[in-house]
Amino acid sequence: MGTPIINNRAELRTVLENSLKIQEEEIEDEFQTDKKPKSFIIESNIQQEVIFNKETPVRSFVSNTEDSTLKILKLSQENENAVYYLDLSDRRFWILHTLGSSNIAGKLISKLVTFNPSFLDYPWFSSKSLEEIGKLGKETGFSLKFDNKFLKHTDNSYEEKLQKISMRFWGGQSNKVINNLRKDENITQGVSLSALGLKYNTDTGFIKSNISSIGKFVAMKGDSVDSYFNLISKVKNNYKEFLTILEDNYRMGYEKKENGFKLSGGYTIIEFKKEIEDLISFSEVLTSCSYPFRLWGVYDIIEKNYVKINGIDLHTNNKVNIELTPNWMRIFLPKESCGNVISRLFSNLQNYFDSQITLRGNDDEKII
Amino acid sequence: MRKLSNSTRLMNVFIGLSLPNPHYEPVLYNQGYQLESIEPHFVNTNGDLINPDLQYKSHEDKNLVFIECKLGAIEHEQALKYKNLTKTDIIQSNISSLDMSNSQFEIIYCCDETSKDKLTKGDDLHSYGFSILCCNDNNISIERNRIKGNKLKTILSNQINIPDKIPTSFYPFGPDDKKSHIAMSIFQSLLRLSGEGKEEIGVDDILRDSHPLYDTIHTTGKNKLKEIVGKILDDLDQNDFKDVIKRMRTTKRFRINPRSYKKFRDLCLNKIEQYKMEAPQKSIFEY
Repeated sequence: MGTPIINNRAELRTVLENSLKIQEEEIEDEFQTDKKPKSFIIESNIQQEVIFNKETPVRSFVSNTEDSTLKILKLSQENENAVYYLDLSDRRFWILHTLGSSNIAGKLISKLVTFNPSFLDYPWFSSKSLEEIGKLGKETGFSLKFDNKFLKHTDNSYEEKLQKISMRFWGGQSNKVINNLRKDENITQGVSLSALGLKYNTDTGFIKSNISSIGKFVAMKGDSVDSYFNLISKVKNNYKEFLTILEDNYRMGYEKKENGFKLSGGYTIIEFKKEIEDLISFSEVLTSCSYPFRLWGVYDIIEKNYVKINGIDLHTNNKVNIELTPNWMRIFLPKESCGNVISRLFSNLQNYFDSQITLRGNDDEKII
Repeated sequence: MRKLSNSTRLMNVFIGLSLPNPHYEPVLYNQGYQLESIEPHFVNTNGDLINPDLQYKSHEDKNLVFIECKLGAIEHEQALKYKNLTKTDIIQSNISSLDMSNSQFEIIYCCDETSKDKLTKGDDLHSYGFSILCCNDNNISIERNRIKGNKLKTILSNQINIPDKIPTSFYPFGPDDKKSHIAMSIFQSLLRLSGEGKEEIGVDDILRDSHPLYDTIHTTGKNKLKEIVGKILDDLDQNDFKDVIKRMRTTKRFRINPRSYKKFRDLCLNKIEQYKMEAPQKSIFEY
């Protein structure tokens, strides 16, 4: 089934609702269904008119509907293409729905989002945020993914260190399973959620959806498209609130006044449970300009066990300065920088370094 | 081992003490002293420019504090301006939100271990009457105690401990910093500005982008920074970066095309290492 052309939100609702009714053997291989609705939340720092007129790694074509905040977006690259319903009712967080192939739709969005500077990014749900999302309904399963990108073959006792974890679990009581995994000190640093399954009910019915840590939703089963919309909207709004806290409180501003400069805002601190053994090699990986960190940076040791990184968040071409020690890092963002870089950094350090890290503000306020 | 100049460190230490943080006790913040202005500037009734480094206020202490970070000898002319400063000057300049009709003000000089003797001798000689604080590697001690604010007196009666690894990003660099340290901020700005699509970039654009308080730095400091950055850019233009950065003959400005992010990053890191090997540069006080 393709993604039919629609003219307004009522038709969007009908099309997605009809697709939910298609009898499809429920496959538990998350994100593989090609018949049910799939949706992506995208964090945007750019107007759609600008990005889709820019040269990007994917060809794009946008057409209007009767609703100015609902567009039809076609993305293609080589032999692959996908059609999305692009919901722009929230200018900062776009939602793209599709009924096309899950793999292709995800791949094309990834090409669009991850080229630098695209001014687009994923919402990066930390492991804890995914657990919080799980509380919105009944958890039906989860995925763990951990891949220690900072571990080198040349490291001391390389073989004894946790390198990779990949795991999928379906069934009830997932919370108990996660907590039990965390009790094992050999693997606890790798217990980082990458997706979860959730059954979510509203008065109109239910939806069973998988949700990934980069904001991809796949409806697996259900009888209510309104529940599906409601779930996406709730998750999006919670993330928006989180980002607003980061941007309002933890960016530094130097406001020029008549008689001097006024300093405002603050900074964030990521604390590690596992010590960084080699700060320079850690900085090298972190600032190597590649996905998922998307950070450019130059670094130097400024004191013993203290490294300064002058970085650029490649997704928006804005500055991010990091002060790194074996036990924590301070993150300084100028007022104009996008707060999503903190979220991206945190979530990926969980997936690629240590799942037990915490994020707090300089005011000691625990954020994650 | 420390890479920051003492003047840059001093600015970061004092700004850091006025903001909450979980790694060490921000005594000024905890005792209600707020950083009201960085590099405040105003004229007194004689028309002289008064331009300390930092300005703190405390509503509870009813006290306005001007901090002058000084790493050389006291400049007599500047010190006289501070000495002759009156409450009327401050009220008329409208520089503080503190109700100055029932508040006091004071000037505090801050120095490091190497300049402590020069400052205290200068004060002994001319009886300026300011308090003098000395910030060394691990603590801040009071060398001349004429503190007026009651809470401030309590704060400073004990040594203030300064931990390792103070935040260094409030005030990124100054004219006294090593080229290798300044270059980090310059490279960062080169990439940022080139990403903005600016065709040509001048030394001032780069400095302004790389230092949020560049405009407040005194002329001598600015000139020294311009000289350092000019040298860095010329060096890049002539060596490994010649595909990346080009000096335009007519405008004397620079065109930048980093090509590949990773390649540009690696070039920058190599250059920083090269600069670290070079002989130390002179302090601004040696000029």
